[in-house]
Amino acid sequence: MSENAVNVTDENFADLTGQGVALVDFWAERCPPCHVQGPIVEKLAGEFSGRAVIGKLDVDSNPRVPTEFGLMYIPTLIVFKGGKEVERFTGLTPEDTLREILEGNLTLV
Amino acid sequence: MDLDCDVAVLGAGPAGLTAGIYLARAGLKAVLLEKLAPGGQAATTDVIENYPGFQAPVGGFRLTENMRQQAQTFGADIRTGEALGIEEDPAGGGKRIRLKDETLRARAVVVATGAGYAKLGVPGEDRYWGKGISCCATCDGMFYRGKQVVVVGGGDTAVQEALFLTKFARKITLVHRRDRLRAAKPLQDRLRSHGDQVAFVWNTVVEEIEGSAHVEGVRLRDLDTGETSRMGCDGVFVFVGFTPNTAFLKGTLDLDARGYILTDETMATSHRGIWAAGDCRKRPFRQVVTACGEGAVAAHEVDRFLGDVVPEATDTDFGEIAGRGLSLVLAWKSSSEEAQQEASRVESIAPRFEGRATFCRLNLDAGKETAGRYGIHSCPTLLLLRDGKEIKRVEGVCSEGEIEAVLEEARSEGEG
Repeated sequence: MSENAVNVTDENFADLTGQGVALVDFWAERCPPCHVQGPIVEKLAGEFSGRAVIGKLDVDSNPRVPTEFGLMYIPTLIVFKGGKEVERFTGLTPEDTLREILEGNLTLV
Repeated sequence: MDLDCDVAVLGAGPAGLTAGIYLARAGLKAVLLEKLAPGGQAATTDVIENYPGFQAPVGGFRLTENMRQQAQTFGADIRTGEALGIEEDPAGGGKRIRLKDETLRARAVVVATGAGYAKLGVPGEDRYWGKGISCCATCDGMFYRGKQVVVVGGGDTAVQEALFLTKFARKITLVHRRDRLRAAKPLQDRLRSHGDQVAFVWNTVVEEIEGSAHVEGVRLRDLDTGETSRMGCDGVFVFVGFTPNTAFLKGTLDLDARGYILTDETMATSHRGIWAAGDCRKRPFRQVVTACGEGAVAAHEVDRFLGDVVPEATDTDFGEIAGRGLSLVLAWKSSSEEAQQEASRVESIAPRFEGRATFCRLNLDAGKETAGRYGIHSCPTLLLLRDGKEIKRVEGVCSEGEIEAVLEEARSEGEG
């Protein structure tokens, strides 16, 4: 299903979120709400292509980053700006909410 | 979006999607307004074993994806948005659905907003949600490997999720406010078979969830003795039922004490022109299949309602139907052949005045109070009203041309 959203891993996480604006969707195969969140993230990935990094991190295959961020709940979506966490959403999050946060962080100098 | 449609369906879970399938297939312009994602709660269900027609268990997401595609193939328009309120449309007899920055206008509405997981409503719950509190064991069980968790609830979901947690958690304590579980017996037996790994605390509620950066424990209160105690734990899983998503309808529709929409067996709510289907309405059994059934019934009723260009008014709903704007009322009796013929003439004229006048029939044998109020004695009689007040009356048979002329005159007088 992943056409637009980047596959984020423990290895490439630092590079992908290190600069600019990034959104990472933490998910797992056997997490049903994560499958509902997925298409929303995919849609945003298409919309923000070239402006922000929008990716998904599979917590089963990539245990290091989730532990680093004290993750205890999925889906969780974290927005980064210049490598720093600026916003965290716990649970299924509507596309409008995510879009607003991304736009907001992109226009801020 | 400032959009017009025939039917607005609020919610695109199984009930809303099924209504969408039936409405679109009937040739109606249906807009499905979805806050999060199509599929609703069913989409987040891991596996469904008992949906008729699917002998092999089907994934909830896959089942609802099929429904979504089917609805869209028939022409249902699914849009992202949240309804904040429903009002009468002053312009033309339909409804206006208020969104954050936009308005959706529709001739009829089906509310299918479903229900969400109920929270405990105790201190610490909001603070620690996602930091040790969860409502999905399949999602978050792995974060509690080797740890101690509390499961709150006593129904099927609580027991099923607790069973799933036995794969990860070192210790599970099920806290329930009653002295026995409501869950199906086979599920209970399976849970008990885990021996010391699972403990039960009866007649007890969670009063507070405590911790520092994450959950570290819960304060419990024994409902019999009133005593409180503290239990250390790393996580709390909450499965205490559901809350209907109907807050935005308070004051618009009749709801029961817990917020579920009250309807009759045709899914009609207390408000003319609005139906409800699925988990948001008061119903005896909440399942995907019953939600779909109700969505279909609501769609069928809406189709009939919209097709009824000259509806029958009763003493009870006369005000609602004919009390606003320009209205033409045909008073008739079932015994009068002339009145029946007049009715068909009115029915052919009605569509030409859509949005500018409303039409209805009043059976003189049934609507005695209304007939008395307007002093109607003969049949057929055509009564022209503006905001419920009589402006013209024509007794006896009229030709189509005469009826139209009367309407046109009243309409232009109103605009002049």
